[in-house]
Amino acid sequence: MSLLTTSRLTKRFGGIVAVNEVDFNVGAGEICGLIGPNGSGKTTLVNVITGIYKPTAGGVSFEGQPIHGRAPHEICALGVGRTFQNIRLLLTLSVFDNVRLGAHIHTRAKLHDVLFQTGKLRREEKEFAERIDAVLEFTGLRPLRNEVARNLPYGRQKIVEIARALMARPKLLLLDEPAAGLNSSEKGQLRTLLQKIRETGVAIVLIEHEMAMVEALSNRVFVLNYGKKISQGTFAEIQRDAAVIEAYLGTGGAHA
Amino acid sequence: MTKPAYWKRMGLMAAVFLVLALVPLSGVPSYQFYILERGLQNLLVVLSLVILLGYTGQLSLGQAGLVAVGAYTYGILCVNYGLSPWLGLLAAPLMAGLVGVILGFPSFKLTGPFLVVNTIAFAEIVRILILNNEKLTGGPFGLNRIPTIVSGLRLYYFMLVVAWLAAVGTLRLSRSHIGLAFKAIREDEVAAESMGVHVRNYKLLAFVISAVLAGLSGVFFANLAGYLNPDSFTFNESSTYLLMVVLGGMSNVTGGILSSLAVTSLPEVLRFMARSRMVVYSLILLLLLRYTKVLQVENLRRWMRRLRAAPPQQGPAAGPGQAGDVAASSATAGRDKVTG
Repeated sequence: MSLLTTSRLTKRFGGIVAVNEVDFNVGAGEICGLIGPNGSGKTTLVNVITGIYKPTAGGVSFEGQPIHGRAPHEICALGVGRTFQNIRLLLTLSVFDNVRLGAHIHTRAKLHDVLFQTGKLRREEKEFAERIDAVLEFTGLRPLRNEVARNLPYGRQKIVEIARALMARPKLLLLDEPAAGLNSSEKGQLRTLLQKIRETGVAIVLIEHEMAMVEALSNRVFVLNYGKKISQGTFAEIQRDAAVIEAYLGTGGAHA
Repeated sequence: MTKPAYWKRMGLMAAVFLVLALVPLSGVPSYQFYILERGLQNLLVVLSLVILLGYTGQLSLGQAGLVAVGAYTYGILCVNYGLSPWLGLLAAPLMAGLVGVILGFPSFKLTGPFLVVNTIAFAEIVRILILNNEKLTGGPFGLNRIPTIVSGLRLYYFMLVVAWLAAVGTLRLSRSHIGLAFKAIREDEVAAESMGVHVRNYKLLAFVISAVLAGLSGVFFANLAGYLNPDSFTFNESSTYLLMVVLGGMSNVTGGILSSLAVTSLPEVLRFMARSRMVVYSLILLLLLRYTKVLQVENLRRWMRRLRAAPPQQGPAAGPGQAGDVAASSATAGRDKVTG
């Protein structure tokens, strides 16, 4: 059974059909590439899955239960983590606090625990601090622990977003163009990190224009164009697919 | 906030409160002492705004309405129904908290300038309701002979203890996961909800905590003045509270404490200037806003950026000029403070 399934998922904005009857699925522990030209509906698909948008038609199910129409914070608590194409960090806070936000769904302490600094709160905070440091170690952010997020270079900020998502211990991680804007050494580090994440058993949906990375990491690839799924399969398969070649390069028939 | 930074702030705050605890021993004249007491009372409202505006990023220009709810709940229960002032002290913040829920609801959909206008309207509605329900509130004639919880110097120390507890609670909140959720909402609501923060609940929580603190301040206002009148809870008061919290650095507890004491006493210090007093007062505030390091102008800039970055689908965002005007008008809106 797949971890995440969308069936005939559709999202309309007025007359524009951003996502058009897309059937998409991710298996546990798998890296799924999601590619397509600009404006093909990849980010919209992620936004519908994570509850930012409500689908116009169709459904999304996670671990067998329907999740469409639920609020983003509920979907996050079920184990779906994400990063954003345009970085959405808490810019005035430290890297530590940014990653700490990822632990929010696991916090049990209530307001009175905070006001009276109960043992429960202290134990929880100690436990989280250790886990945050472990995640920072895992992502190579340890030296930047107390830096303010705004002062970090772009590439590091993207990693902080991934660390924040990992802190929530997701079963599925949706990464929206993690390699965009990264230099080649940062891309190499990112690829290693994503492989390490897959080894921990977390499934990944990788939206990416960086084809070398998609080829190296993806078990399967889905291709969208104008909101429609035009192809799916292994990277080698979709590479040969005429529909994919047409979407990226055009037919060229007019000049032939 | 790192642990050393937290304890540094806690220590700084403790020092300020220690000085405040020693002030009565130096034999301050009674009028000056009264101003200090009013400063302590305003401090609670400033803490309420530190949480609401500084942490959560929800700008309220209606805090005077919440202070009024607290003050009148206490006054009505103690005067009209002869309730013990101690019970009044409990009931008033509860009532203010309930009203805070109502004030919080519009924040689900409204951001930036739209929310601000909403809070202004809220405070006006409260004031007009008080003015027109003469049987209950005394209307324009006010509410007289309000009993105090404890009297004289003991009231001062009682207020000091309550303010200390509130300040410590605020700082603890700031460091906790709840404070982090508040700040996440301030920085980026979409990121917050995507990381599992129930944005609506946390906004409501911020409004309720804020309202409880403002209501508590209202109780102390009733205790200090012994008389309540709707004129004490106008837009002027709300904007002065905003000025205090902005001067204090928005999310800085100790800064807020210092600025509430300073802004409360400044018009009194300048009293010898007679007619030019308010001009000088406004000028000093503007200079403070521009130059003092304690005031942490970068926080104000961040807040102004947020105003500018209001979602476009809700109409035109406030331009730089408008955002600047809000700050400038709050800087000059302190007239009649304390003297009222």
